[in-house]
Amino acid sequence: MSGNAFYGGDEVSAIVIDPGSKWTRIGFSGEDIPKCVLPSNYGEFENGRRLFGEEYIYQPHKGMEIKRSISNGWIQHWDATLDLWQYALKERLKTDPVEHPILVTEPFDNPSENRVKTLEMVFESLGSPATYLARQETCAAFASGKGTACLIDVGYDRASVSAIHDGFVLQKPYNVQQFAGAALDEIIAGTLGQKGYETTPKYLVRSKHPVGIGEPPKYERANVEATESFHRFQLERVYDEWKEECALTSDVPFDSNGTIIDSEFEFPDGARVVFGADRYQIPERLFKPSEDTTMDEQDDENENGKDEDKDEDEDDEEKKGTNNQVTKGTLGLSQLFQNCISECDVDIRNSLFNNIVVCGGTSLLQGFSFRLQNDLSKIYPGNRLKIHASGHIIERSYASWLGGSILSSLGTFHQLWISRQEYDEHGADRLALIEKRCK
Amino acid sequence: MSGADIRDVFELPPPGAVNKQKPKSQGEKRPEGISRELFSLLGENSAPLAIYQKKFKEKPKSNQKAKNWVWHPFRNPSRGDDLALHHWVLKSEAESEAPYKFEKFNTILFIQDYTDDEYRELLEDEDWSKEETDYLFKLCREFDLRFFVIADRYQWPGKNRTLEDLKDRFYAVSRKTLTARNPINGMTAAQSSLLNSMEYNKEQEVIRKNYLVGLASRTPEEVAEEEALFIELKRIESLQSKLLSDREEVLKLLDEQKSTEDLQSFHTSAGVSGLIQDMVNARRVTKTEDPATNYSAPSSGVSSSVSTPARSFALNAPKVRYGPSPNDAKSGISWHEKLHSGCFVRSQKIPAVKASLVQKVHATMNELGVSSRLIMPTAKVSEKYVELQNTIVILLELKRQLDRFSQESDIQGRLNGSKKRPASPDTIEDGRNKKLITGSGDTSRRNVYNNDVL
Repeated sequence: MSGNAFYGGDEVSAIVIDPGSKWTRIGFSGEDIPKCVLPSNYGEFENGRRLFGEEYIYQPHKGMEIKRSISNGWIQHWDATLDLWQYALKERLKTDPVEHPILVTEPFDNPSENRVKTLEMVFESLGSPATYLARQETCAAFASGKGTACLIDVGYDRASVSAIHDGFVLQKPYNVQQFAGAALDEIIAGTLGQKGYETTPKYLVRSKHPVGIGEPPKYERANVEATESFHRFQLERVYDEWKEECALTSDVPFDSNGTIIDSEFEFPDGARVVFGADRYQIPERLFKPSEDTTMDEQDDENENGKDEDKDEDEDDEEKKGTNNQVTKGTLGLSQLFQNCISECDVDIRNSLFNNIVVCGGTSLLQGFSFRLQNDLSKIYPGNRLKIHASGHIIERSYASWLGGSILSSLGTFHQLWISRQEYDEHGADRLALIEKRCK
Repeated sequence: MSGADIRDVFELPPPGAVNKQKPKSQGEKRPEGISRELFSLLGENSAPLAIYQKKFKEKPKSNQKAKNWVWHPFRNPSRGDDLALHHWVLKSEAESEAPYKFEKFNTILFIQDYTDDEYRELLEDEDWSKEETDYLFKLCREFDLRFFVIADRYQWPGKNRTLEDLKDRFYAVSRKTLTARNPINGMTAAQSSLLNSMEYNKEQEVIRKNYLVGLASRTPEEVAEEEALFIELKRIESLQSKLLSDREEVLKLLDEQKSTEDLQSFHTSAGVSGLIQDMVNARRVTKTEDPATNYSAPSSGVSSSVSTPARSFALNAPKVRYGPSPNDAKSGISWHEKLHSGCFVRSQKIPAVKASLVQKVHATMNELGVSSRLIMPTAKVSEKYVELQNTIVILLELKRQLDRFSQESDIQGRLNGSKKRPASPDTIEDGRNKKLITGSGDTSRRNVYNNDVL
């Protein structure tokens, strides 16, 4: 640090909570990774007892249902979420939230009631002295050090493309879609089913024996009882592994006549299967979704194309558990990007092109950034596209938490906190308070 | 050399002394049951030990005493409330009660405000209600004049405002209010610069933006097409300039002769000498312009004399003449482009032609009946000779160009395809005959032309 540079940080020991559809990240501000990363799923027993954290919910307990507290980036189950946060703060971080200001991140299209409820939860249930609701998109851009960026966030439940100018998320260009990691999981399940293969998750395997490629597995089945939701949850873990190991995004729109590199995948029960075209076809769905129209179509509202941050009745319908399916209206990522850019003012388009940030767990698929670059360059020729995709797994997956950590440790941020005093004084219309302070 | 001496030299013991001192010190006798190698490692013969010294790394020595940090509450004056956050601060700094060091970053942008009266008087607009204008200004304050964000978040029921609309209204109101409060003459520098910054031309911005949109929405094919056209344009321009330079070259060769309508003036000797004078002057001007440093060029000579302190003298300085006048031949003054020092043979000093052209030039001279070697090289004769030589060079050059161009035009003609067939000789002659017979009507021999001649 040179002598003339002014260090902009002033840590006040704040806590940053970044709730996502699959993982919830909680940690101290100013640090470079969240100390506590818990699954947003939780285990619940009939008597109401809840379990949080991987080491508990990955174990098959009798009568434990796995439920989701957050769906589509929005908090659905408030009690469970509160329990989760309290568990994380007290047991994992070993702190008392009364002493720390808490920064909570939220997606841009978070419904207004959710914002109010979050605020109330932090002040009244957690008892913290100050809080702020930061936009996840802004935070993710900050994690890359950019105030103006076009953010492509492909997570578990949602894939969004947003334009951020000077730290503010622009409303009209905001495009979000519920077609991301979870959808890919379902497609994988369908593909494996079509191949006639029944996936056995790890908890059912007591011991396994090596077999040749393509042969039926030889394993001893564990004698455990588990609920259906638990089983599904564990299956998703296998699909995650498959996505990490096998999935490969092709550089150009996938054509079966192109080169196909086969890869072998070993399932938890010891079965070894070779995957060829499937490796490419599954991530391809992110870029070209509407290939397969034989999937079941459900009648729930899907957010396709543009989305607007207004209070609407359809928000209630979104909140009912969303089952991601491919519908005809789902767009590819390049199309989402195009929609976003075309809504932006011409003058800022250039700076957006130069600062494209990619984040989100699903963006870690092999070959993803390269394919994205190719696709976007075809639509927007010329050398002005610059995609910033961090190579670091932590930075990609935890981008919004990192941005929140940076933000809440800045000296100039401390005038933005909503303090308990302001909360009490403001009275009933808390939404107005939030809308005024957390833009 | 006796044996004693040899022994002395070699330091050998005297012959009687036999080596009785056998090394008795064999050491211990190896006990039974232990191998030789093992025994050599034990007891007396044991290997030397490595000595470990149990020492930790030395404690770092610091001259300073440990600083005392405290978890200190602080208030941020930029906040409206009493929130007291805590941070670690050196105890000395904590007690000093310094202001919060990030307070200075809380800059507030100056946004003009207006009273209701001012609004009623100056700022009324059909399109904009007061509430909407207030709303606009509220947003401007909230977002610190980030118009992109303001335009994006702007929501007024029933109105669809573009960014240009908002900017236009904002700047118009600010300008009017500012000028109303401070008459233009009485403004401070800061205020007038503020006023200047509030200039906003809406139509221009709209046009510019539409142009940008058009530019941005070109398809890749259009972009490629435009680039190709651009390259074509550059190519054509360079060809044109090349053509022009070629033409210049040819004209320069022809420039030796002046082409005027009235050649009568050149029929007299005075005219010719005048022409020569002009040409020499022209040559002199171009020549003296280039090697400006070697010879004191007339212009610089005059200017240097002008720049001397004695300015008045310069005006009266004798005018130096650098070219021939018509009376020179009478007074015996001759002008030479090139002056030779010492004595020389004139025939040696005639300027030589380019080696490639020498043969052709001589051949041409022979054709004309002039010998290529001068028999009597007097001044006048050699002058004429040089003239002839130059003219022949020009002639040859022109011939070459003509050949080249006619060849190219032939090629072009053949490429285009000869669509018009040349008329047959019969028709031409018939035409001629008819014309002559019918036209003149005079059958006297005088007027009848012989076909053969034609």
